[in-house]
Amino acid sequence: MARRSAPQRRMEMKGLCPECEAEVAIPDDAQTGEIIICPDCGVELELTALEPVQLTLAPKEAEDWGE
Amino acid sequence: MSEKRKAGIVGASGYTGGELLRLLLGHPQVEVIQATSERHVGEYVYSMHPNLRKRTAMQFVSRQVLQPCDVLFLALPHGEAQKEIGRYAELAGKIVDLSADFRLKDPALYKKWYKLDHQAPEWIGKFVYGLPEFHRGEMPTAKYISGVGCNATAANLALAPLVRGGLIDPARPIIVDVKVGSSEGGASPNAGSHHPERSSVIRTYAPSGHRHTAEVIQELNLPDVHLTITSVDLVRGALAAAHCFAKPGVTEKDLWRAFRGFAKEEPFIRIVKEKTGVHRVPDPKILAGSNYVDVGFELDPDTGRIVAMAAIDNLMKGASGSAVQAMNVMFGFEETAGLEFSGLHPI
Repeated sequence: MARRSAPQRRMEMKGLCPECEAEVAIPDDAQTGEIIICPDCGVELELTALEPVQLTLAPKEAEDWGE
Repeated sequence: MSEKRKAGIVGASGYTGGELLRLLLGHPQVEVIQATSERHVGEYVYSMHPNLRKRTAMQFVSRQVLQPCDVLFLALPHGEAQKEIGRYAELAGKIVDLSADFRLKDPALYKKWYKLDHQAPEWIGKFVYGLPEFHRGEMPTAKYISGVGCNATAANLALAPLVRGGLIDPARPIIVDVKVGSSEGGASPNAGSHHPERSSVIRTYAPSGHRHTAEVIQELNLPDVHLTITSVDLVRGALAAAHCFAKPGVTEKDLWRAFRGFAKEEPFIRIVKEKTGVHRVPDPKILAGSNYVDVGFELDPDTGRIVAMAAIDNLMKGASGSAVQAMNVMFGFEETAGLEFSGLHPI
Protein backbone atom coordinates (compact mmCIF):
# COMPACT_ATOMS: atom_id res chain seq x y z
CA MET A 1 0.00 0.00 0.00
CA ALA A 2 1.26 3.49 -0.79
CA ARG A 3 2.70 5.40 2.14
CA ARG A 4 1.53 8.88 2.99
CA SER A 5 2.51 11.69 5.30
CA ALA A 6 0.42 12.65 8.28
CA PRO A 7 -2.05 15.28 7.00
CA GLN A 8 -1.36 18.97 7.62
CA ARG A 9 -4.91 19.95 8.49
CA ARG A 10 -6.42 19.02 11.81
CA MET A 11 -8.00 15.58 11.86
CA GLU A 12 -10.17 14.08 14.52
CA MET A 13 -8.34 10.76 14.58
CA LYS A 14 -4.94 10.77 16.17
CA GLY A 15 -2.42 8.17 17.16
CA LEU A 16 0.83 8.11 19.08
CA CYS A 17 4.11 7.32 17.38
CA PRO A 18 5.59 4.31 19.18
CA GLU A 19 9.10 5.55 18.36
CA CYS A 20 9.03 9.15 19.60
CA GLU A 21 5.55 9.67 21.09
CA ALA A 22 4.64 12.37 18.59
CA GLU A 23 0.95 12.92 18.01
CA VAL A 24 0.20 11.60 14.55
CA ALA A 25 -2.92 12.79 12.75
CA ILE A 26 -4.74 10.09 10.80
CA PRO A 27 -6.49 11.00 7.53
CA ASP A 28 -10.25 10.61 7.62
CA ASP A 29 -10.19 8.09 4.81
CA ALA A 30 -7.30 6.03 6.18
CA GLN A 31 -7.57 2.27 6.08
CA THR A 32 -5.90 -0.36 8.22
CA GLY A 33 -2.66 -1.51 6.72
CA GLU A 34 -1.85 1.97 5.46
CA ILE A 35 1.64 3.32 6.05
CA ILE A 36 1.87 6.77 7.65
CA ILE A 37 5.06 8.74 8.20
CA CYS A 38 5.64 10.25 11.63
CA PRO A 39 5.95 14.04 11.26
CA ASP A 40 8.61 14.27 13.98
CA CYS A 41 11.00 11.35 13.66
CA GLY A 42 10.17 10.26 10.14
CA VAL A 43 9.63 6.56 10.83
CA GLU A 44 7.11 4.65 8.79
CA LEU A 45 4.13 3.53 10.84
CA GLU A 46 1.58 0.92 9.97
CA LEU A 47 -2.00 1.69 10.87
CA THR A 48 -2.98 -1.62 12.42
CA ALA A 49 -6.35 -0.57 13.86
CA LEU A 50 -8.76 2.33 13.51
CA GLU A 51 -11.05 2.20 16.52
CA PRO A 52 -9.09 2.94 18.55
CA VAL A 53 -6.18 4.06 16.39
CA GLN A 54 -3.18 1.81 16.71
CA LEU A 55 0.18 2.47 15.07
CA THR A 56 3.11 0.09 14.95
CA LEU A 57 6.55 0.48 13.46
CA ALA A 58 6.38 -0.68 9.88
CA PRO A 59 8.89 -3.36 8.97
CA LYS A 60 11.68 -1.83 6.97
CA GLU A 61 14.88 -3.09 5.46
CA ALA A 62 18.03 -1.58 6.89
CA GLU A 63 19.17 1.32 4.79
CA ASP A 64 22.76 2.12 3.93
CA TRP A 65 23.31 5.71 4.96
CA GLY A 66 26.30 6.06 2.70
CA GLU A 67 28.63 6.89 5.59
CA MET B 1 3.59 50.89 10.12
CA SER B 2 5.13 52.86 12.96
CA GLU B 3 8.34 54.79 12.47
CA LYS B 4 11.42 52.63 12.17
CA ARG B 5 13.85 52.45 15.06
CA LYS B 6 17.24 53.95 14.28
CA ALA B 7 20.23 51.67 14.75
CA GLY B 8 23.98 52.10 14.70
CA ILE B 9 26.64 49.43 14.38
CA VAL B 10 29.99 50.04 16.03
CA GLY B 11 32.74 47.94 14.52
CA ALA B 12 30.82 47.19 11.36
CA SER B 13 33.69 46.09 9.13
CA GLY B 14 34.14 42.69 10.78
CA TYR B 15 32.19 39.54 10.04
CA THR B 16 29.61 39.93 12.79
CA GLY B 17 29.22 43.60 11.86
CA GLY B 18 28.64 42.58 8.25
CA GLU B 19 26.01 40.10 9.31
CA LEU B 20 24.29 42.72 11.44
CA LEU B 21 24.20 45.01 8.41
CA ARG B 22 22.80 42.27 6.19
CA LEU B 23 20.08 41.43 8.69
CA LEU B 24 19.15 44.97 9.67
CA LEU B 25 19.07 46.31 6.11
CA GLY B 26 16.25 43.83 5.54
CA HIS B 27 14.53 44.39 8.85
CA PRO B 28 11.02 45.82 8.55
CA GLN B 29 11.21 47.92 11.70
CA VAL B 30 14.82 49.08 11.83
CA GLU B 31 16.80 51.64 9.87
CA VAL B 32 20.59 51.52 10.04
CA ILE B 33 21.81 55.11 10.22
CA GLN B 34 25.49 54.58 10.90
CA ALA B 35 28.19 51.95 10.67
CA THR B 36 31.61 52.60 12.13
CA SER B 37 35.07 51.36 11.29
CA GLU B 38 38.21 53.19 12.34
CA ARG B 39 40.32 51.51 9.67
CA HIS B 40 37.87 52.07 6.84
CA VAL B 41 36.47 55.54 7.45
CA GLY B 42 34.96 56.92 4.23
CA GLU B 43 34.94 53.60 2.42
CA TYR B 44 31.68 52.18 1.19
CA VAL B 45 30.27 49.42 3.35
CA TYR B 46 30.21 47.09 0.37
CA SER B 47 33.99 47.38 0.04
CA MET B 48 34.23 45.14 3.11
CA HIS B 49 30.93 43.31 2.67
CA PRO B 50 30.57 42.73 -1.06
CA ASN B 51 27.25 40.92 -0.64
CA LEU B 52 25.75 44.29 0.33
CA ARG B 53 26.56 46.04 -2.95
CA LYS B 54 23.42 47.76 -4.18
CA ARG B 55 21.76 47.10 -0.83
CA THR B 56 23.23 50.21 0.75
CA ALA B 57 25.30 53.23 -0.18
CA MET B 58 26.45 53.74 3.39
CA GLN B 59 30.04 54.63 4.11
CA PHE B 60 31.91 53.76 7.27
CA VAL B 61 32.29 56.56 9.79
CA SER B 62 34.47 56.93 12.86
CA ARG B 63 32.95 55.96 16.17
CA GLN B 64 33.96 59.45 17.34
CA VAL B 65 31.13 60.97 15.25
CA LEU B 66 28.39 58.59 16.32
CA GLN B 67 24.96 60.16 16.44
CA PRO B 68 22.24 59.38 18.99
CA CYS B 69 20.02 56.49 17.97
CA ASP B 70 17.54 54.04 19.45
CA VAL B 71 19.84 51.04 19.58
CA LEU B 72 23.57 50.56 19.24
CA PHE B 73 25.09 47.23 18.30
CA LEU B 74 28.68 46.92 19.47
CA ALA B 75 30.64 44.47 17.31
CA LEU B 76 34.08 45.33 18.61
CA PRO B 77 36.97 43.05 19.56
CA HIS B 78 36.73 41.66 23.07
CA GLY B 79 37.79 44.20 25.69
CA GLU B 80 36.90 47.29 23.67
CA ALA B 81 33.24 47.84 24.53
CA GLN B 82 33.90 48.02 28.27
CA LYS B 83 36.34 50.91 27.77
CA GLU B 84 33.65 53.29 26.49
CA ILE B 85 30.39 51.73 27.56
CA GLY B 86 29.33 54.89 29.39
CA ARG B 87 29.67 57.02 26.25
CA TYR B 88 27.74 54.49 24.15
CA ALA B 89 24.97 54.43 26.73
CA GLU B 90 24.66 58.22 26.45
CA LEU B 91 24.09 57.84 22.70
CA ALA B 92 21.51 55.06 22.72
CA GLY B 93 18.82 53.95 25.11
CA LYS B 94 19.45 50.33 24.25
CA ILE B 95 22.67 48.47 23.53
CA VAL B 96 23.41 44.99 22.27
CA ASP B 97 27.10 44.20 22.77
CA LEU B 98 28.24 41.19 20.76
CA SER B 99 31.61 40.91 22.49
CA ALA B 100 32.40 38.84 25.58
CA ASP B 101 32.70 41.94 27.76
CA PHE B 102 29.36 41.67 29.56
CA ARG B 103 28.45 38.00 29.22
CA LEU B 104 29.91 36.73 32.47
CA LYS B 105 28.14 37.89 35.60
CA ASP B 106 31.08 37.43 37.93
CA PRO B 107 34.10 39.72 37.35
CA ALA B 108 36.30 37.05 38.92
CA LEU B 109 35.07 34.55 36.34
CA TYR B 110 35.82 37.12 33.63
CA LYS B 111 39.36 37.52 34.92
CA LYS B 112 39.86 33.76 35.18
CA TRP B 113 38.83 33.08 31.58
CA TYR B 114 39.90 36.28 29.81
CA LYS B 115 43.02 37.05 31.87
CA LEU B 116 41.98 40.69 32.19
CA ASP B 117 40.68 42.92 34.94
CA HIS B 118 37.27 44.16 33.86
CA GLN B 119 37.31 47.91 33.30
CA ALA B 120 33.62 48.50 33.89
CA PRO B 121 32.51 45.93 36.48
CA GLU B 122 29.66 48.19 37.61
CA TRP B 123 28.05 47.66 34.20
CA ILE B 124 28.10 43.86 34.23
CA GLY B 125 24.94 43.54 36.29
CA LYS B 126 23.04 45.81 33.92
CA PHE B 127 23.34 43.38 31.03
CA VAL B 128 21.07 40.45 30.27
CA TYR B 129 22.81 37.44 28.71
CA GLY B 130 21.81 37.56 25.05
CA LEU B 131 20.32 34.13 24.40
CA PRO B 132 16.54 34.59 24.02
CA GLU B 133 15.92 30.88 24.59
CA PHE B 134 17.26 31.35 28.14
CA HIS B 135 16.42 34.97 28.98
CA ARG B 136 13.42 35.97 26.87
CA GLY B 137 11.44 37.07 29.90
CA GLU B 138 14.05 39.61 30.98
CA MET B 139 14.60 41.19 27.59
CA PRO B 140 11.52 43.40 27.12
CA THR B 141 12.53 45.52 30.10
CA ALA B 142 16.28 45.32 29.48
CA LYS B 143 18.29 48.29 28.25
CA TYR B 144 21.49 46.34 27.74
CA ILE B 145 21.96 42.87 26.31
CA SER B 146 25.23 40.99 25.92
CA GLY B 147 26.31 38.83 23.03
CA VAL B 148 26.68 35.08 23.12
CA GLY B 149 29.69 32.93 22.39
CA CYS B 150 29.17 30.81 19.30
CA ASN B 151 30.61 27.61 20.75
CA ALA B 152 28.83 28.28 24.02
CA THR B 153 25.54 28.69 22.19
CA ALA B 154 25.88 25.39 20.40
CA ALA B 155 26.80 23.67 23.67
CA ASN B 156 24.09 25.40 25.68
CA LEU B 157 21.33 24.57 23.24
CA ALA B 158 22.43 20.94 22.88
CA LEU B 159 22.40 20.45 26.64
CA ALA B 160 19.52 22.67 27.76
CA PRO B 161 16.71 20.12 27.22
CA LEU B 162 18.64 17.49 29.17
CA VAL B 163 19.51 19.83 32.02
CA ARG B 164 16.00 21.27 32.30
CA GLY B 165 14.56 17.78 32.21
CA GLY B 166 16.87 16.59 34.97
CA LEU B 167 17.98 13.68 32.81
CA ILE B 168 21.76 13.85 33.26
CA ASP B 169 23.71 11.97 35.93
CA PRO B 170 25.27 14.87 37.87
CA ALA B 171 28.03 12.67 39.24
CA ARG B 172 29.66 12.31 35.84
CA PRO B 173 31.37 15.00 33.76
CA ILE B 174 29.95 16.41 30.55
CA ILE B 175 32.27 16.66 27.57
CA VAL B 176 31.29 18.88 24.64
CA ASP B 177 33.20 18.45 21.40
CA VAL B 178 32.64 21.40 19.05
CA LYS B 179 33.72 21.51 15.40
CA VAL B 180 33.93 25.02 14.01
CA GLY B 181 34.44 26.94 10.79
CA SER B 182 37.10 29.52 10.06
CA SER B 183 34.88 32.59 10.35
CA GLU B 184 34.93 32.13 14.11
CA GLY B 185 38.40 33.56 13.96
CA GLY B 186 37.12 36.92 12.76
CA ALA B 187 38.08 39.09 9.80
CA SER B 188 41.64 39.82 10.90
CA PRO B 189 44.10 37.30 9.49
CA ASN B 190 46.74 35.50 11.50
CA ALA B 191 49.34 32.83 10.80
CA GLY B 192 46.87 30.05 11.53
CA SER B 193 44.28 31.44 9.15
CA HIS B 194 46.68 31.70 6.22
CA HIS B 195 45.11 29.58 3.48
CA PRO B 196 47.82 26.91 3.14
CA GLU B 197 47.74 26.46 6.91
CA ARG B 198 43.98 26.60 7.42
CA SER B 199 42.65 24.79 4.38
CA SER B 200 41.64 21.14 4.95
CA VAL B 201 42.53 21.20 8.62
CA ILE B 202 40.99 19.16 11.39
CA ARG B 203 42.84 21.03 14.11
CA THR B 204 41.94 20.74 17.76
CA TYR B 205 43.11 24.21 18.67
CA ALA B 206 41.52 24.25 22.13
CA PRO B 207 41.59 20.76 23.67
CA SER B 208 40.71 22.38 26.99
CA GLY B 209 40.37 25.81 28.52
CA HIS B 210 38.30 27.47 25.79
CA ARG B 211 36.80 30.71 27.10
CA HIS B 212 33.28 29.88 26.03
CA THR B 213 33.26 27.12 28.63
CA ALA B 214 32.52 29.81 31.19
CA GLU B 215 29.23 30.68 29.49
CA VAL B 216 28.07 27.07 29.62
CA ILE B 217 29.01 26.80 33.31
CA GLN B 218 27.16 30.04 34.01
CA GLU B 219 24.06 29.56 31.91
CA LEU B 220 23.35 25.93 32.67
CA ASN B 221 24.79 25.96 36.19
CA LEU B 222 26.97 23.00 35.29
CA PRO B 223 30.24 23.00 37.22
CA ASP B 224 31.59 19.84 35.60
CA VAL B 225 31.36 20.67 31.89
CA HIS B 226 34.34 20.72 29.52
CA LEU B 227 34.67 21.98 25.95
CA THR B 228 37.05 20.87 23.23
CA ILE B 229 37.12 22.96 20.05
CA THR B 230 38.30 21.69 16.67
CA SER B 231 38.69 23.74 13.50
CA VAL B 232 37.33 22.02 10.41
CA ASP B 233 37.24 22.93 6.77
CA LEU B 234 34.15 25.13 6.85
CA VAL B 235 33.82 28.89 6.63
CA ARG B 236 30.56 29.09 8.56
CA GLY B 237 29.18 26.61 11.01
CA ALA B 238 29.56 25.04 14.43
CA LEU B 239 28.47 21.60 15.53
CA ALA B 240 28.46 20.69 19.20
CA ALA B 241 28.31 17.05 20.26
CA ALA B 242 27.75 16.93 24.00
CA HIS B 243 28.57 13.63 25.68
CA CYS B 244 26.99 12.93 29.03
CA PHE B 245 25.43 10.06 30.93
CA ALA B 246 21.76 9.57 31.67
CA LYS B 247 20.37 8.99 35.12
CA PRO B 248 19.36 5.35 35.64
CA GLY B 249 16.06 4.50 34.00
CA VAL B 250 16.08 7.32 31.46
CA THR B 251 14.87 6.15 28.06
CA GLU B 252 15.06 7.62 24.59
CA LYS B 253 11.39 8.56 24.87
CA ASP B 254 12.30 10.70 27.88
CA LEU B 255 14.79 12.49 25.65
CA TRP B 256 12.13 12.96 22.98
CA ARG B 257 9.81 14.52 25.54
CA ALA B 258 12.54 16.83 26.82
CA PHE B 259 13.67 18.01 23.39
CA ARG B 260 10.12 18.35 22.07
CA GLY B 261 9.13 20.37 25.11
CA PHE B 262 12.13 22.64 24.64
CA ALA B 263 11.66 23.16 20.91
CA LYS B 264 7.89 23.47 20.86
CA GLU B 265 7.57 27.20 21.50
CA GLU B 266 10.97 28.22 20.15
CA PRO B 267 10.84 29.80 16.69
CA PHE B 268 14.39 28.82 15.76
CA ILE B 269 14.91 25.43 17.45
CA ARG B 270 14.29 22.39 15.26
CA ILE B 271 14.65 18.75 16.19
CA VAL B 272 16.53 16.76 13.58
CA LYS B 273 16.35 13.07 14.37
CA GLU B 274 15.38 10.90 11.46
CA LYS B 275 15.61 7.17 11.04
CA THR B 276 16.11 7.25 7.30
CA GLY B 277 17.49 9.43 4.55
CA VAL B 278 20.59 11.59 4.43
CA HIS B 279 19.58 14.31 6.89
CA ARG B 280 19.27 12.29 10.09
CA VAL B 281 21.30 14.47 12.39
CA PRO B 282 22.01 18.21 12.75
CA ASP B 283 24.46 19.52 10.15
CA PRO B 284 25.62 23.15 10.11
CA LYS B 285 26.17 23.05 6.37
CA ILE B 286 22.52 23.74 5.57
CA LEU B 287 22.25 26.49 8.18
CA ALA B 288 24.63 28.99 6.58
CA GLY B 289 23.03 32.41 6.78
CA SER B 290 20.07 31.25 8.84
CA ASN B 291 19.25 31.72 12.50
CA TYR B 292 18.01 28.18 13.02
CA VAL B 293 19.46 25.77 15.53
CA ASP B 294 19.12 22.13 14.62
CA VAL B 295 19.29 19.85 17.64
CA GLY B 296 19.37 16.07 17.86
CA PHE B 297 20.21 13.32 20.31
CA GLU B 298 20.84 9.64 20.78
CA LEU B 299 20.92 7.42 23.84
CA ASP B 300 23.12 4.35 23.92
CA PRO B 301 20.92 1.95 25.90
CA ASP B 302 23.86 -0.29 26.77
CA THR B 303 25.95 2.37 28.48
CA GLY B 304 23.53 5.23 29.19
CA ARG B 305 25.68 7.62 27.21
CA ILE B 306 23.74 10.46 25.63
CA VAL B 307 25.08 12.32 22.62
CA ALA B 308 23.22 15.61 22.26
CA MET B 309 23.95 17.67 19.17
CA ALA B 310 23.35 21.24 18.10
CA ALA B 311 24.28 22.80 14.77
CA ILE B 312 24.34 26.54 14.12
CA ASP B 313 25.79 29.16 11.83
CA ASN B 314 28.35 30.68 14.19
CA LEU B 315 27.92 34.16 12.70
CA MET B 316 24.13 33.95 12.95
CA LYS B 317 22.69 32.12 15.95
CA GLY B 318 26.18 32.19 17.42
CA ALA B 319 26.48 35.98 17.13
CA SER B 320 24.57 38.45 14.95
CA GLY B 321 21.38 36.44 14.51
CA SER B 322 20.93 36.02 18.24
CA ALA B 323 21.71 39.72 18.68
CA VAL B 324 18.94 40.73 16.26
CA GLN B 325 16.57 38.18 17.80
CA ALA B 326 17.30 39.66 21.23
CA MET B 327 16.73 43.18 19.87
CA ASN B 328 13.38 42.04 18.48
CA VAL B 329 12.33 40.79 21.90
CA MET B 330 13.69 43.92 23.58
CA PHE B 331 11.62 46.24 21.37
CA GLY B 332 8.55 44.02 21.24
CA PHE B 333 8.93 43.28 17.53
CA GLU B 334 7.98 39.93 16.04
CA GLU B 335 10.81 37.72 17.31
CA THR B 336 11.59 36.37 13.86
CA ALA B 337 11.60 39.76 12.09
CA GLY B 338 14.54 40.02 9.72
CA LEU B 339 15.55 36.43 10.49
CA GLU B 340 13.27 34.41 8.27
CA PHE B 341 15.94 33.11 5.88
CA SER B 342 15.84 29.33 5.98
CA GLY B 343 19.28 28.62 4.57
CA LEU B 344 20.24 26.99 1.31
CA HIS B 345 20.06 23.47 0.01
CA PRO B 346 22.02 22.25 -1.75
CA ILE B 347 25.01 24.34 -0.79
